[in-house]
Amino acid sequence: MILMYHKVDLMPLTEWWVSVDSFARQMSDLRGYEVVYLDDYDIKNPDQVVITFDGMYENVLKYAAPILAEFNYPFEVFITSDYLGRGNEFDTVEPYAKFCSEDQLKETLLHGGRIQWHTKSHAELVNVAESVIQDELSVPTQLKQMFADPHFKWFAYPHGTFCEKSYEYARDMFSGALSVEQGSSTDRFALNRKTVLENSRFSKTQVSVIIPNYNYGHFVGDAIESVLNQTMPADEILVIDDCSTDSSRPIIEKYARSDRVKACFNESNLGIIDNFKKAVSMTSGEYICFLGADNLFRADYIEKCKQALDKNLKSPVAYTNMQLFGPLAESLAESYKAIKLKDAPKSNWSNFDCQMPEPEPDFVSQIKKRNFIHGSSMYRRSCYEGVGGYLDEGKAEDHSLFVRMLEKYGMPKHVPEALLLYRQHSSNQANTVLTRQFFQRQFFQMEKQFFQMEKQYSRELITRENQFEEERQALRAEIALREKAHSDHIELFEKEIKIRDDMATELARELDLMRQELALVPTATSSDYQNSSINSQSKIVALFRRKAAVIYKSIRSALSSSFIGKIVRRVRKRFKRSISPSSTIAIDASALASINNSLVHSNGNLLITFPIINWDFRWQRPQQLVSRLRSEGFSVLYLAMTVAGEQRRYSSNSDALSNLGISNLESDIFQIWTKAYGNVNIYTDKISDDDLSNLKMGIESLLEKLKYTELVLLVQFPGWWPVVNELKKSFGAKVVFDCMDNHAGFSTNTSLALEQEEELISESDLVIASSMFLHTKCKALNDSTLLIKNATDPEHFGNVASNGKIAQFCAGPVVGYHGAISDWFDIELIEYCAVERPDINFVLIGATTGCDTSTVEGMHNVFLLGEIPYLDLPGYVTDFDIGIIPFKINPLTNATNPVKFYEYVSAGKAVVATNLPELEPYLSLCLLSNTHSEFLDNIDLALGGTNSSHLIEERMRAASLNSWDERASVLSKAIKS
Amino acid sequence: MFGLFSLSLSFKSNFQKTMTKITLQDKQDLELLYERNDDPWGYKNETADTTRLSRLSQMLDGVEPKRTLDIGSGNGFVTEKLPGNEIIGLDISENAVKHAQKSALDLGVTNIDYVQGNLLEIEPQEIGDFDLICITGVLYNQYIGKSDYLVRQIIDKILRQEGLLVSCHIDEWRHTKFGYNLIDSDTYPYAEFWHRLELYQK
Repeated sequence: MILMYHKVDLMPLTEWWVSVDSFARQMSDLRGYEVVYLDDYDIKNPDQVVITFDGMYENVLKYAAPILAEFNYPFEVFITSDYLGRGNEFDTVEPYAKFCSEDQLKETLLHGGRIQWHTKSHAELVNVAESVIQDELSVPTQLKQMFADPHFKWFAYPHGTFCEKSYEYARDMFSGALSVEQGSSTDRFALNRKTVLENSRFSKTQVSVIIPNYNYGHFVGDAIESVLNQTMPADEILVIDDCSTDSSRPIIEKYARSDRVKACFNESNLGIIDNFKKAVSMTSGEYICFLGADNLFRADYIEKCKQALDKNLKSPVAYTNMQLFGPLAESLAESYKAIKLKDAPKSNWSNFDCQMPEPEPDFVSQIKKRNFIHGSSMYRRSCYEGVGGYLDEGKAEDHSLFVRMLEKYGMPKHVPEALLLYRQHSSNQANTVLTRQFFQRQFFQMEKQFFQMEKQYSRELITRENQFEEERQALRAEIALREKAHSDHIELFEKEIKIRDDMATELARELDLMRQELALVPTATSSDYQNSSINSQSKIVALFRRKAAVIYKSIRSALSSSFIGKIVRRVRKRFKRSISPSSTIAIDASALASINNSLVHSNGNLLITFPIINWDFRWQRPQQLVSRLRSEGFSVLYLAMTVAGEQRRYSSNSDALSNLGISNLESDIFQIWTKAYGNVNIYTDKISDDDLSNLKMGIESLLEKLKYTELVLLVQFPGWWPVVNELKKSFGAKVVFDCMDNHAGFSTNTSLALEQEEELISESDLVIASSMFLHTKCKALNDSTLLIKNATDPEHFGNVASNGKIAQFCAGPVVGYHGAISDWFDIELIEYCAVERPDINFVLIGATTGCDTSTVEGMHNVFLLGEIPYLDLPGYVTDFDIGIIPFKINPLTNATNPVKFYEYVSAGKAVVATNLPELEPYLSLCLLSNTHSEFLDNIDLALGGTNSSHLIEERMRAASLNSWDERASVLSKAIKS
Repeated sequence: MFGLFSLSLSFKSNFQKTMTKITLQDKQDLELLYERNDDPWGYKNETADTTRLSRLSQMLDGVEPKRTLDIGSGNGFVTEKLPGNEIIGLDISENAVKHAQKSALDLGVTNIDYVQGNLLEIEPQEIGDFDLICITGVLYNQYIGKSDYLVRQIIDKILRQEGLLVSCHIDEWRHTKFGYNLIDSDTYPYAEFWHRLELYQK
């Protein structure tokens, strides 16, 4: 191989220029070759190289010649005599450069150069006159004298081109001639040359550097940079990360963006041996070296180690001294008798030069006992493969590798400089290389075991989960079966009840027959009877009556005390709130009798409720209060919110009565289904005159049949006002308005309802308000206004056992909410908290209407359970760690006295809420906040230990003072006064 | 010789853009800069530059060299703070050398000798050898091209065995690494760049 250079300078300006650094690197690459003069060049020897320069510029003398001398390489310079000491102006496309003068050519000889011929004028010698060729090829005598044999024996064709004639002349006048591409590799008078470019490399051996990393994110960047900043660049850099759990990955990826660094991220931790083997298999250089991610290479590591292996073809490995640095360098230095270097003034640690012994024969035999070849030594791939690579032998992996290499291939090469910077940064590392490697190996083995165990356990876990799931399904099937059997039982019981009811009816008929018989007694023809006295006759009647009463009573009591009766009551209670309009019956004599019977118990106090919701809707303040007023001595008629249309006006009261429906909700509470002219939605529709007529007649017709003494109209929604107003006028009834919501705040309410409300408040005999805000509002219109806040049912919520439902889908702290999730619900607040606290579960119970919950629906720690019946609610609430009220602050919520607050408290829960004015009196029972972050802080605070048994007791005690029983009692007294 | 320690803050951005296609900076440019101003890059008033000076001083704490060489001494901003019984400041710009000499005179400093010369043309026999060599803001492409090899050769010829070499350069720009024991290194923000300060021992 013959190399052709032109210019060597500080910067490569065109492709004909090579920089000083590249030139030095290329010279270093040639260490594996024999560099010779052209005279000694053997065309057939592929290991020989000739270095030639065309033109011989000043910059070649200045920068290239000293480097050539240093490497002790001979070289050839081809000169054009016309330009000696002048510039290259003729070469118009090239930047300016000056040729050497005669004196400078003489200087070139001192560096080992030989002067050869390149014509006088650099004219292209193709198809020109023979005389021109002859003249151009003739070396002037003066020059020939100046540079005698062995100079001017070789010729280079200008521009590398020649023709038959110029070839012939060259053959006659020189011992050889050089072309570039036109010639061949075998024709001594037209030898081709290789044009050397800035990035040309000639090394026969490539260096692969492997940086294995495991959780050294804070060091690995320095390690990579120390390899990138080598005086002799690595041909390949591989960073292999063995499944780090720290910040390593992004750091390594950053370096891997350059094409110089290759990165590999193991999907699972392979452990040291497998990881090293994998890394070696991923690289291709003949020379391999590992650099621990916490260590550094000195800038000349690759240059010096590669040189050592290039020069010592038989050595399998080149090892170096080490520089110990880092906070714990001193302790290791002692055991190595390392030489102290200057201390690091900034980093405040000591540096040591840890010198390794030369590989004398006895040392090599000792290496099995004491390792002096550190793990970052550079070794040959062929030797690595020859001994089978890294093996898992229970010894330090690199030590074992090197021992086997030396046994098979002989002496290593020592590079007596501290080219590895070995960081001493933790106590388990401040030890000898051997023990460090041993412990590291042990650690990796343990870690491997751990991973295997983890794998095994996770498999087992999955198996058990599957088993569990199967069991659960079996149980579910059984539950379904039992429920089926249960309902079959109920059916049976119902049938039996029916039979007994029939029996009772039969008996009643018998009784009637007896009565009739008795009535007939006076007209009977029996003389005995006729002759008996009136007294005896009445005795007989009384006897019959007693007998009948006893029979009747015994049947009733037998029924009520029977097991079946109990079951039926329970079943009825369970389903009582799902009674639908279709289950109503017409008001017949027995229905009227039931109501009148109830009125006997309530001393004639009749309360008609004009409700805000149907009885069977969510169990709230309306039902809580009304159901208790019954206990306070009222018989209750609870109108249904659903008002169907009759499509005609009632003709008479009996017509009206026959179109009413009734359903018995609980004892002494009757739901009355009224009808208007058209279908009426009480929430939104205006009640027309025709509607009013029917509604009024319906209720009047019912009242006519009832034996009441006092009539109270409890209004819960202003939409009823026209009906109530009519009844008030006709019957002189007492009107009580329960103002429980600021209707201006509901998105669903119309202005009509608001107008009606003002009239209703003014005209009512008593107004009760659920919050301070509403109290103030009503009091302004009606002095008879009473504050009756919301409350709770302490028995219902307190000391309830968990139903285990929440634990089925989440573990960890539970922040819970129950109630409607509507437009006043601050869903953004939930999202914010759930993002900030991924470990806390947010369980939201309630129907979502008018609130976009899509932002939290995908979140792993937010659970939307939907509506849950009031009866089942405590079983969930008891699993809350905190109850929250995340309401937006607006006109509606400003007026809201939240029921759930009392319910949370009665369940003993800490409460975190937004700053609702109604909660301000209860600062000892809840944490209020103005901002999202305050809300979150309060959750943290509440979770952090406000659930001591003392506090829970305190809350439950407070809740008992705020019970619906107590509220109902106050209300009852106010109505009766 | 090389007046640029690094560049003044206002110059840096423009300069970085042109880094990709660098030609060597003409000595005449530097002469012109120093002709107009004795502190062309405003080192004396820039906080970032006083910071780097204190970092450099920390790195050389307790060092007592007999002979010190500051390569690229400029107006003497760094040279004046270096330890050494005998200090030589070398700069390629004659004007810079004049400013530095005047500054030394004003301060009454007598152990610093400022000379004009080119790092790449240093004659070891003439300049002698040193216990401490300081090279700051010099080893960039626009000053030395791609000649790290040459720089290492020259420094090695004039640095005594066990002598110290301190190098301070903008890390984002390429600069020369040395095959000596790395005693300590420091990195710190310098305007929008990072400085890397390295202390080597031969």
